Amino acid sequence: MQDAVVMENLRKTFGPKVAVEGLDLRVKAGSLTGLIGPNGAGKSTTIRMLMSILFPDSGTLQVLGKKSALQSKDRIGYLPEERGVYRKMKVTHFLKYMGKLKGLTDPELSTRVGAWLERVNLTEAANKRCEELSKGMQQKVQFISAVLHEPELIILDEPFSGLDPVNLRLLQSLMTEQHQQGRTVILCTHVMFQAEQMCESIVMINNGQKVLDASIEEIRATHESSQVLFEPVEGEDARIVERIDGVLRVEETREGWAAHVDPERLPASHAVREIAVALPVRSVAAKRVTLEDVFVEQVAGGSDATEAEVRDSLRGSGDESEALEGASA
Amino acid sequence: MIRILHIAGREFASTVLTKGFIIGAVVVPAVLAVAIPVIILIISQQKAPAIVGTVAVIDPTGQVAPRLADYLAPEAIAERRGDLADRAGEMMPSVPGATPEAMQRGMDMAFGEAPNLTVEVLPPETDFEVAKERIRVAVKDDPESTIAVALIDADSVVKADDAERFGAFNLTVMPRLDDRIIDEIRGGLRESVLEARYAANGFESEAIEALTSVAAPRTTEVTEEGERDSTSAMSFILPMVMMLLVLGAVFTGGQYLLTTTIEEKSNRVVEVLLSAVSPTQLMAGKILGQMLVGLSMLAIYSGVGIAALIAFALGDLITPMHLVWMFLFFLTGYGMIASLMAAAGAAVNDLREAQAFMTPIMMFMMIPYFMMIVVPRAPNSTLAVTLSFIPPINPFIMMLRIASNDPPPVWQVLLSLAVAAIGAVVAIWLAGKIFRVGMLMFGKPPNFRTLIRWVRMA
Repeated sequence: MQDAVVMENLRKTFGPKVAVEGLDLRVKAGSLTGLIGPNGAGKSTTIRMLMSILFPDSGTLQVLGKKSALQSKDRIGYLPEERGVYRKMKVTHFLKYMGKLKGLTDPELSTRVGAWLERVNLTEAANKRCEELSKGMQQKVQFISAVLHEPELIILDEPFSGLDPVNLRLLQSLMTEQHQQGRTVILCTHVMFQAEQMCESIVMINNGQKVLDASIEEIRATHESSQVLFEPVEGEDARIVERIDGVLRVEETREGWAAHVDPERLPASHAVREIAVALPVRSVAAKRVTLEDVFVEQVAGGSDATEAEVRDSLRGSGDESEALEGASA
Repeated sequence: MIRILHIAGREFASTVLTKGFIIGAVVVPAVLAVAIPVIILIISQQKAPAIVGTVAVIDPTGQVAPRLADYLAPEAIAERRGDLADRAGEMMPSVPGATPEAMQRGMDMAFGEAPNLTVEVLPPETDFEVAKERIRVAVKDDPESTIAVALIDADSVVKADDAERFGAFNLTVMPRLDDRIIDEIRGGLRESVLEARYAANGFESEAIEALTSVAAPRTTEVTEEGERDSTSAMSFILPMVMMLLVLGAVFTGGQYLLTTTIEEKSNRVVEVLLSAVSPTQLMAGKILGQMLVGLSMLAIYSGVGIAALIAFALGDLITPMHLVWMFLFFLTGYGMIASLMAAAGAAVNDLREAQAFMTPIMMFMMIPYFMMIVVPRAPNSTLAVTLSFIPPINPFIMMLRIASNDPPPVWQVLLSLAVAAIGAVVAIWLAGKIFRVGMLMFGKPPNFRTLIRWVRMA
């Protein structure tokens, strides 16, 4: 299958700050790929280069078979992280304007805009000014503007930020639907469990460099869990587990106890057996590997940062525009 | 190209539908067009009523009061106003409808209807304070009532032996008396005292007047079509108006461009737009849209101006070539100024920050204002010619010269236009680079060095 996106050895700097370094990336056509990493990792810069909003200092890229997104902008739908609307414009006018810029004709617009507004329960807001909408409603309008022209490639940068659970599910289902219709979807997010829930393959970026590029199955198959969750029978001392060779420490959690193991010395599947033998338990199971665990493993393993520091960085505030702000300083 | 037109269309529509534009470009000219005739009509209907009453004079000299009586006679007042109307007509030879009758109507409107005043000479020994009491009991519109009392100094006609100066007169009037009547009485007293002095010294007042007055000079211009009365006042007004029209239109478009660019950047819609069009297309569309806004302003105000000139039979002062040059210099001037403003808008986060960039632009653009008097006076001076080739002010200086009495040679106009066109291309190129980088930059506004870095970066 042809690749929708090909990036080779991309580099982008803003003054002294290196935003992206030596990035190689291939996104298969028709796939749903997650581009994940903490805030400031270089995700949005990568996407902006992909969209030809920014241009790389070096390296090459191809989008939908063209050398630049400028040649295929009508075939791409983009929901940027820094998104906005014309506050005084009516919702319908805004969508029609964006659709026209994407090459849609008036008859196409008049049918599609109404249908999409109905799909996201915004029919009543059609003639309201954008400034009258809530943030979540505006976000749905922005999503419509990204998919209205039925693009082959859809790039969504932090599409779920600020959404309530109902609208989050709605947007997730719309994304999945777009993917099922054969479109390539790139989901860019720092919330890793969302990518884990939806994506087929994952590209992890940290400090402007790719640290992981694999399918979800491959990631699960190649990354051993380092935690075993267990619940001892009442009155039993869970601390006994610490005596098992390969168990690093044991800690009490809200659901029970967790044993942290060194997978090289004691794979989690073995640890489950060892724990069951060591003390009577109600339940014992290896904890499923999460993308966050994998990210922490990748990043903490290659740097001086502790696991806790890496996890904190994933939950930290700020956004990627800081990378750009650096250029103006 | 179609995308650029879509962006331009949105820019134009969203600007011309704002209250500010509608008020500035449509309502103000419309209100003026309606209000001026209405105000003239109202004024013409409200002529000041004729004042009737008595002017009491205590004249120890016995020489001033009779002259005052002649001066304030209704027929004498009417005659003076007629002379004034004739002189006004002579000064405005090109103004249609400036007939003596029309001028007389104008005088009536300006001065009110001629008053009907009677001069009553009081005995010389009358106490001025007692005479003033007559004013207190005066009744309006009663010919018998005293509306003013004048006391002529005894030495006002013949100087006292030891005095350095002549005496004068005192005038007391009733409250709220029309100021035009007070001027008439005061003027009469002054003229009467002077005439009495001339007579006392053996001069004839007609001879003095003949010696001290010169008829209003008539200046003519020799044109290709023949001679005509000079329009020297218009030779200053026309260049100023034409330059201000172009400057105003350029800045209207430029200012809107600045604010809409900042708006798109601050409400973060810019990246959505850049996903559909390139930064160059976005800037081109915005510049084009606001150019149409500026052009609309230019067309509306020029149309009003031309209509006014035609109404005053001065339509021949504007030639079609003036309009062609105005259009071309607007385009090039707008290209330079507006693109710089677009770049300023892209570089900053809000209007307050934009002021830092706008100040040097505005200071430079003050030069055409300073030149509004200088250049039309000497349109082919070294200064005027030099400034005609310095962008971005040359379009405005050239408008001053083209509309002046002594327009520049065509080669200078074309060369200045070429300089402006090159300036516009360079400004748009530079602005495009700053726009491309600046539109996605948030946070601290850039300094000049950073802008240069952006230009290199883009």
